Amino acid sequence: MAKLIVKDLWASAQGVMILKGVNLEINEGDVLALMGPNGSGKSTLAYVIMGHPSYTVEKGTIKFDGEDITNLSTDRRARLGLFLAMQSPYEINGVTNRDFIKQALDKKDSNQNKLISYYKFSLKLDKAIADLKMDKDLADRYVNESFSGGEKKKNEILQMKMLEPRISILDEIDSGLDVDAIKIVSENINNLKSSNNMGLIVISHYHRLYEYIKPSKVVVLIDGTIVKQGDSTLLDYIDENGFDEIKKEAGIKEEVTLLETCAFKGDK
Amino acid sequence: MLPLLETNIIGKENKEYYKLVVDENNYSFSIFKNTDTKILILSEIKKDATITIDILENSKVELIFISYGSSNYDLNINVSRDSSLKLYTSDYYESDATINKTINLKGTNAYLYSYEYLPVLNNNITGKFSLNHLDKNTTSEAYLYYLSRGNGTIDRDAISTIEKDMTNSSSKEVIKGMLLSRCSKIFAKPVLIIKCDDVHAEHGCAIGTIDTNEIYYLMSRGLSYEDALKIISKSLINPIYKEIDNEEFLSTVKAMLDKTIG
Repeated sequence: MAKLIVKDLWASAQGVMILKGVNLEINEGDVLALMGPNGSGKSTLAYVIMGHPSYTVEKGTIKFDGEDITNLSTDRRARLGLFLAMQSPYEINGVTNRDFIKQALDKKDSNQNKLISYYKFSLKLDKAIADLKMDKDLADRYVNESFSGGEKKKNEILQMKMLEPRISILDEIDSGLDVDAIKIVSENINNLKSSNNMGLIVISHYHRLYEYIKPSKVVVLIDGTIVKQGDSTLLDYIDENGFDEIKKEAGIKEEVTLLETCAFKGDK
Repeated sequence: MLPLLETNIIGKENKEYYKLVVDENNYSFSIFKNTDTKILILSEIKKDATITIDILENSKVELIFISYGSSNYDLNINVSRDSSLKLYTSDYYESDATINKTINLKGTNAYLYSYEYLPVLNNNITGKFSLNHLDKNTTSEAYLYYLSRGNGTIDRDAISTIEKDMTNSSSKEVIKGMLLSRCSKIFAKPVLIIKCDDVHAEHGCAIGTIDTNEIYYLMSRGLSYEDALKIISKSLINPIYKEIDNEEFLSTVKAMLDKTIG
């Protein structure tokens, strides 16, 4: 069983430390809800796990399936079975979705020596598009170019369905989706989870998504550190109290208070 | 019937393509008036040459002109009144060369849409892309995409001239340059020379490296850095590929691109 283990992870961007000793563990089949206020480091953690070159790992390790992947290139992490559905997917002008996904699939499968024929690939792609209730022509449009916010998010899940990763990180996959689309996307994610025993790290600000994708574990990240963990009842607690109570428990002061204090001292 | 390229022709009618082996200094041919056609030309430039194409009145022409070789050439195209030209060009050279392309909109209501894709690898390509509005109510749109890899250099300006009294004319030129290595260079200027009032003209130029976020996105799906670089570099030729409806011609162009981009 594949396991992702993040141990004492410290990471920075442009000299600013964002992650400050994150510890996390997720097995295939698990659903982990990653919560936290804006700017707490959730997306950074997702990017660092996926090897974004803008972030520097200062300390700690990321292990996947027993292998230390802390310094592995992004593509090799992906081929091992990690997937990141991005909050703001990039547009690739001139490259069609179909060609892109086929190439990605060929790369993944060449690792396992079982290349898929173009015919079988097309059937699989058509089915995945139908499952997600996407327009058929999206397959032959350029990757994310002129896609609506909702289409971009569905396109991330389309890629996930085609690549069948072992552990996926969904970074605010529900933003930009209407109520019906959230349901469709969630169904597709749950189906893939059931059939492939995929593990999930789900980042979202909204309780609604977790009604469809039930987390087995909830962790709260504040100021680059995991300050609280629990089962799904923690979601209700956050819904009722926000993050303020958790910040108080963890002894985290509001940044705005510090700024006001500085301004006050300056005035004097 | 296609009234051109009497020598070195491969294929017949519209469904095939023409192979032009340039081993003399001058080539010229015409497309008759009232013609509606699509022409694919694969041109091997063996000797410094000037190739002239006249599109006569009231014709609608789509021309895909791909060149390769080792010598310099000038491509001059004259578009007559009430005629339109959709021009797709791409050049594959392993050595240094000067390539000039000039399109003269010679009659009223002449129209041009042009798409050029020029990749280099360790060689230098210089020259000019010129658009001359020589009559009233003429329209041109030119998109020039340059890719430089290794120690390659591209030094090409796009110059659009709207001559005196050629009112109601419109010109647009866009240059995009992509640097694929630290030592690669691209020099390009979009130039507008306007000699009368009551015209519309716009230009733009952007030269830079490939967006690292785009590379990251592709890599996050399992493509290697090299593959990601290639897929983005090659994406710019897709508009030309889409227009090529001859398998043999298409596979030849793809092979030439593979040799340049890798």
